[in-house]
Amino acid sequence: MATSKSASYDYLIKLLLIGDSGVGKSCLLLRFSDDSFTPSFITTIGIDFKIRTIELDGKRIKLQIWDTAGQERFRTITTAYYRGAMGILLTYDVTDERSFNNIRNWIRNIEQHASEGVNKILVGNKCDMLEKKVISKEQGQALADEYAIKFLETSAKSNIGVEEAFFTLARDIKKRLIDTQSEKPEKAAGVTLNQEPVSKQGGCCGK
Amino acid sequence: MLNASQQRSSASDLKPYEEVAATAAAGGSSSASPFVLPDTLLNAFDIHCPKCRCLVIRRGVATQQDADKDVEVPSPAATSAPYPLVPAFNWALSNMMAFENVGFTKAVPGGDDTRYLSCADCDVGPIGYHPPTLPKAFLIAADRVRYNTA
Repeated sequence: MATSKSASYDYLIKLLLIGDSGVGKSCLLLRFSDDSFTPSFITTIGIDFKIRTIELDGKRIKLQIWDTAGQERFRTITTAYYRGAMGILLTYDVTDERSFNNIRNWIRNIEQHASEGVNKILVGNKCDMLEKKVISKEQGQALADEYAIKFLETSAKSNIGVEEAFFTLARDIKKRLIDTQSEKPEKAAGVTLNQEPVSKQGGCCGK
Repeated sequence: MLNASQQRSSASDLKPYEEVAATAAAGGSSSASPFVLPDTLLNAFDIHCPKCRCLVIRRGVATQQDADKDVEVPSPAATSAPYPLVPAFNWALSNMMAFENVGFTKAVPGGDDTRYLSCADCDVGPIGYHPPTLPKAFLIAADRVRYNTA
C-alpha cells in the first residue's frame, strides 16, 4: 500500500540550463516539442523551474531544473541564480555559430559565480537540422575537451540525446556527491533525505 | 525524455475527474469519496497530466483539501474554458519535492506572487497553483488532472 514514503527520494539535484537565447533550452525540458497544441497560458508567463523524478542505478533522484529563459539576454547571470547549483547544461545551437562562440563567455561566467566543482556538460542542440548545421561534432568535442567536460549533440525536436544529457550529468553529480560524502562523515551539502522544500525565495533570482 | 520513473500503462487507464466521480454515484452503497484511500484523505490513484501521460503525483502522497472559493485558477487556453475556475477540490502537498514531475511558472507580471503549476512534459496548465501566502501549500486542481485507476 502506498504511503507518503513513496514520494521520498535519495538525492536532490539542482541543475541549470545555460546558453544564448534561441538555442532551445526550454525545448530540452519538453517531451513534446511538436506544435500539436499551444499551452498559451504557461508559455506566456514562462516556466521558472521544473521538478523531474528519475531513477538512476536504483536511486530515486529529484532534479530541480532551472531555465534561464529571458535573463540570458543580458549575457550574464547573477550569483543568486547559481546558488546551490550542482550541475549545468551549457547549451549552444549547432546552426548558430555565435551561440557556440559564446560558450566561452558562459564558462567564464560560471567560473565567476557558480560554486567550485559544479559539474558541466556541453550540449550542441538542434543536431537534426543537418542542412543548416555550421558547428561540427568535432568542433563541439574539441571545445569540451579543452575544458575537460563531457559533450553531447542533442535534438529536442527528434528526441535525440536529451535524456542522455540529463542522465550523464546527474550520474556525474551523484558520483561526486558520494565521493564527497565518503571523505567526510557528515552529509554533503545540499544532499539530504527528505529535506525541506527549497525556499522559493532562496532559489529564485531575487525578484 | 526524462521518463525513467513514469508509469507505462495504456491510455484508457487514465480517467478524467468526472469519470472517477461517476463511479461513486453508480456504486451508491458508500458515501466515501472514490478519490481517496479508505479512512484517509490521501489520493487513491496516481495523478497524471490531462493531456499527456506524465506522472504528476504518486498514489498516497497528496491530501484532499477543499478549494478556496475566492481563488480562481485561470483556464489553460485563453479561448476556451473547459474547467471550472474554482476547482472541485484540490490535492495538497506540503513539499514541492513530493511532486514526481511538475513545472512552476514565474510570477505573473503585475499580479501577486502566485506561481502556477504545469505539466513538466507538455507544459499544459495551469493544473494548479502555489499561493503566495502559504509557503507550504502546493495545490493541484482535482478536476484538471487524470487518474490511473488500473
